[in-house]
Amino acid sequence: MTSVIESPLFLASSIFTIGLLGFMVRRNLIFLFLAVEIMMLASAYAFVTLSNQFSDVDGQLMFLMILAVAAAELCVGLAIMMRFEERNKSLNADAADHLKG
Amino acid sequence: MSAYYISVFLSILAILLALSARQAMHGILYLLFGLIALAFNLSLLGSGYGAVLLMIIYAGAIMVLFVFVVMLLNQPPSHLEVTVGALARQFLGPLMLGLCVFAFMIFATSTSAVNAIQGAEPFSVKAIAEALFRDGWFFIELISLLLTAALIGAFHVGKRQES
Amino acid sequence: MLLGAIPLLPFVTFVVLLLVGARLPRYAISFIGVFGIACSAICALICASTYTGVQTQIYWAWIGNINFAFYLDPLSLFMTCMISFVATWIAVFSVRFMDEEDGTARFFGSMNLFVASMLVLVLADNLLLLLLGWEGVGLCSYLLIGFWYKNKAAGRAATKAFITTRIGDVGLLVAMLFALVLLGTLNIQDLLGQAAINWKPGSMEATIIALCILFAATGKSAQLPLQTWLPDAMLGPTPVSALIHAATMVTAGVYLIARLSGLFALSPIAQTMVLAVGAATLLIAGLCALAQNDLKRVLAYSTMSQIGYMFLALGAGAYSAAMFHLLTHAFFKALLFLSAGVIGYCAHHEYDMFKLGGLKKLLPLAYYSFLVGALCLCALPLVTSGFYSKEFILSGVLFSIDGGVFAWMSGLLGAFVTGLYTFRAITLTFFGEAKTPVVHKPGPLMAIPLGVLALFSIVLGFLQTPEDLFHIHKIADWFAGSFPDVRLHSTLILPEWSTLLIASAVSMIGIAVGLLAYKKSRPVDSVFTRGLGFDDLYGLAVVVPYSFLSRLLRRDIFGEMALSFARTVYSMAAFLGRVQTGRLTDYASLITFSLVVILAFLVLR
Repeated sequence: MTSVIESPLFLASSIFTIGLLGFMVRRNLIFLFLAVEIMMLASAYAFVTLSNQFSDVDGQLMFLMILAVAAAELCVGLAIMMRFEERNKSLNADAADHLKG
Repeated sequence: MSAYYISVFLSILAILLALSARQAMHGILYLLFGLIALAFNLSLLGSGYGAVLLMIIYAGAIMVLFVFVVMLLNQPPSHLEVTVGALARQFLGPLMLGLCVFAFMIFATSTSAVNAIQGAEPFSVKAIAEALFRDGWFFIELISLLLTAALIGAFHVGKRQES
Repeated sequence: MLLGAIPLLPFVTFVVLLLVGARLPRYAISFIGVFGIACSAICALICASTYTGVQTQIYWAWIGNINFAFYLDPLSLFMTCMISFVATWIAVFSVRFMDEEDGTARFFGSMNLFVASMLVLVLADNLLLLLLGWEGVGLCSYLLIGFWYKNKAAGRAATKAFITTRIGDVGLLVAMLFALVLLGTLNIQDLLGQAAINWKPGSMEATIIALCILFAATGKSAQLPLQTWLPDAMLGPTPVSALIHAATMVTAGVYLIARLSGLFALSPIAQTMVLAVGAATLLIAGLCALAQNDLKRVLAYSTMSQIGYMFLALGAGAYSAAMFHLLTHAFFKALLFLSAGVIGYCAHHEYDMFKLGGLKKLLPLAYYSFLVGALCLCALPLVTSGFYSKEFILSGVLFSIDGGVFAWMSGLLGAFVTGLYTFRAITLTFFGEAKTPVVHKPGPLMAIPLGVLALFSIVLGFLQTPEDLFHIHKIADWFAGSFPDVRLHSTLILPEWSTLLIASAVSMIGIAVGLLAYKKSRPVDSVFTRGLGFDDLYGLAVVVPYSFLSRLLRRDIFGEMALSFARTVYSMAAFLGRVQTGRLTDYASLITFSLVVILAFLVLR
């Protein structure tokens, strides 16, 4: 049991799951973004710790790249979110259900 | 050892609080706290490079961007939230699914040989830098292109429609 | 070779008018229309003058012994000449009658197609080719009754005629199938030969086939029980009524029974049925004719009644008498209808007798021709053909074993009623004061056909006179050998001259009463006016259940089964489509769900 908790993958899994849950549950666009960022954080953390564990330096590179991608994505995403709020006057993701049915 | 457990506990708690916050700003701040705890965890594991990078880039740039945008949107508190009761109603299905995913991940990690392998030393910054400039220069160029594209995209999308 | 030209020429005319008729000027259409039928008549007369004996001409060998072949014997030659000759004069008349109507190409085309079909019918040597002609005349009857298609009532009448005769056609088809299965042939002569060999008189098979044929004949000839269409068919143009519903199509049933006389000879039951149908129809139709207000409807019921006489003769085995009456009836009935046509043409298609009147002075042409026809119809003794043909029938009926006294008496009663209704019609239409003005004058194109028909109505009578009176027997000689012999009583109930006298007296009394009794008549609306309730009966018994069933089955079972698949798919699609809420978070849940399913599959494998 303790070995499971000690494993870095446990933390990564937990954080990923919480992010996933948050994404499925929350309606507010900001929290949806937050959840996505949390999931990416979890995977980046897993990369770093596992690269240390397996002595493979590519994991560290991957960590950097995930960070960069998260940043880029967040930029554009937040811009889109601002347009969304301008159009629908609220940040509720349920307002974007035109593809219903 | 106990410091490790504390950092694990804190980061999980912070993330949980972040996603169950009622106001966006609170959520972001909780996430920031979670990042600090995670950086603490990483440095305990010996990846000082990872910890610092997390702090500078993630907490320092990305989260700040979030904060700025939330402030820009200037939503009154009532706009930012759905009631907890509604949350609870919709929570059950996703909770089940999430638990299944979590269970599988734990199952996978516990039965795999991952835990058995222990590396000799965590990588030093010097080793990482060498690897970056020797093998990973191409990816750096790609990252810079990506960031440029994101910059242009965000600039264009974020422009207020003048029509 | 000339034999084939007889139906071919009108058919070619039909095709020509069909293709280019609409673009031709009126005189060209009329000329072509008349020319086709006239050439056919000329060919028929040439064939008659060069007739050497029974022959068959095969034009196209098809299957087995069902060929496109024409069979020329006294009966078919007789019918051919009559049909083409009468049709020619009616066509000439129609040129003037239709000179202000649109669609004359359609009219003359249909008329030519009709003549062609009728000729195929009478010349056919097998039942299948006969059926071709049979259906063809039915079609043309529909086309011509509904000629003025903008009049909805005419369209309904055309449909009614077509459907009623179609019901009769089922009888013909069943008879053909029986013949094919039981006797192995549809060729008429072979059929009759085989039947005579295989079946003895009174056999069940012969009776069934003969009764089916009788049913078909009642349909086309407007006898009981399928007679309801003929009065309504008067909504077509009057030359059409003259041609189709007086002289030719309605005689197709008589021809059919006469042609298959050998079969009826094998079945006394069927022959008695023919007799019964004839007697019943002639009386009922006569009584109904007495209660009509419309001149053409009187003539329609009169046709029904006269064909009843022909059926009476057929039922009694007096086939040549039936054919003789068919010939004379064709002429004088056509004459009557064309006279009515003159009235119609000149007085705005007004046929209601109570709105006409005094036409003796206004339209003398119509009056005199109608009078000649009427006297023939009522069998005025000695000078009219109607007298001689009706006398031939009545004596044949009385003296044959298959006929009998009751049939003879119904014939006499019918003759009396005929006189009544005919002269009622004349009194109302021609005498008295004029109520409708005459706006057109008839021309020579109308007068000449009327004159020819009137002449023949008088002269043709002298082809067959009774023994005590000149004793001419051209008709009997012509048909000698074509039909089974009449079975005569060995001792006669009454001497022949007395029956002659009785019949003459009855006719003259009828005429006299008719002239006197109806001077102050008023419009009638009784059950007889409406055809003795047959229309209502059929409406209730046949039309209502059929419409009910069709409404019930409007969505047919196979359609429903096919549609149910589509409906199931639609409802499933609608049901499953609810998954697509359009919400991002729901889609994330779905992705996670599928992820869990895949992981479970991987783990549990």
